[in-house]
Amino acid sequence: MADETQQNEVARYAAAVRAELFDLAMPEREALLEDLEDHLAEVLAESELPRASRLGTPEAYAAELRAAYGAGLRTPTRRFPWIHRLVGAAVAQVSGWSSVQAVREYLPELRPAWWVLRAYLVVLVLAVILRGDQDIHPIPNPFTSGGVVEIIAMAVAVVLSIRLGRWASRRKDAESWPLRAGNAVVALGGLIALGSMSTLPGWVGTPHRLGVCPTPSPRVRSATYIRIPGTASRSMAYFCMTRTAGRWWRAQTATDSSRSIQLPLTVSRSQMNIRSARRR
Amino acid sequence: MQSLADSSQLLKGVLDLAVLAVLADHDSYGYDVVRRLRETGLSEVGDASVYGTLRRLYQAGALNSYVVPSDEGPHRKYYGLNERGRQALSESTRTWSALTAALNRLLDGRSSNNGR
Repeated sequence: MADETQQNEVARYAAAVRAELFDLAMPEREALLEDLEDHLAEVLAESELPRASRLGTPEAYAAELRAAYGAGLRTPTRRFPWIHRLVGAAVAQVSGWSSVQAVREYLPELRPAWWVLRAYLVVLVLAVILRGDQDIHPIPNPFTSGGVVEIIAMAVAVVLSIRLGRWASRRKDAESWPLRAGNAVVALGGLIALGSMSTLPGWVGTPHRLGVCPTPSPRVRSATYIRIPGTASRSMAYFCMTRTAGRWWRAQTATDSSRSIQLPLTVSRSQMNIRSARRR
Repeated sequence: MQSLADSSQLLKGVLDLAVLAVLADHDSYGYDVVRRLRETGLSEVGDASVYGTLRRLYQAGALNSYVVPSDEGPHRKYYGLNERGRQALSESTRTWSALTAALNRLLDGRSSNNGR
């Protein structure tokens, strides 16, 4: 009978056992405790005896596990063991919650989605790096010169990323640290690229050389010059954006080399590189 | 220091062999291994010891494992011997036989000396 109470009981007991073994190095601990919950549930399901007489205290259970697993366990030297104990107890407590366990159960199913996303982010970061920071836009964009290259790069990256993911998940010793570090770098780089791409009002740089926009009304709090590559002479155009009541408005057309510029009516945010100037 | 007569200490050394022998019969899941060991007469074998031993043998590459869903109760992770496990079992069996033979000779000799 795997009813609710018993599930909670198993989760609590397993969390206590995990807390006892928190000093062990990570891969070994995971290998040892991987299906502790299932095993405990089995033991309880097949026995009429109350838990205490069946399993004993979590401390004793953990000690017995440690002894039985034996030589494969190493305890890394910690500089602040009490911090690890504290963190271990907290982690064990949280991972004992049934909701956390439910999420942990379906997380592995999302892995392929991450592999594809990882490929996209790698290409995005590479594109941003290769272009410099002038022109961050979503990729692949078939209307730009590099569009075809981006599409091909995406396809190659997706295939490679999936192969890497499948290879890593077939290995027994979980994921190696270079792969974890690589994932973290890709995720962080991707976040930065996406962030600078999409947040028009949040981008704060040095005021453009045209100076501060004239603000048309006292309600305008700040004004910003937008540079649009490839739309005018010297391959750039300017116009003035103002921010009013949290929204951005085109306030006034600016001039470049004393020449008025016809602006496109719609300019996608991603085509803009923003120089912002706070109103004095 | 624990007493030598503590059978759980003796058991610990041969638990690998015992678990391998149980699994050589047929594939089995954690608690079933515990039960079969106890039915054989190893009544003091601890649940955590068996679970830890299974995980260690699996990590060492001596066992393969697969999950069998069950309608009532939790999923069961079955363990079975692979080629390496069978090899380990036959090697350990030889070592065990040699060891017990030697110990029996030693103990028999002692008891016949005592009887004189």
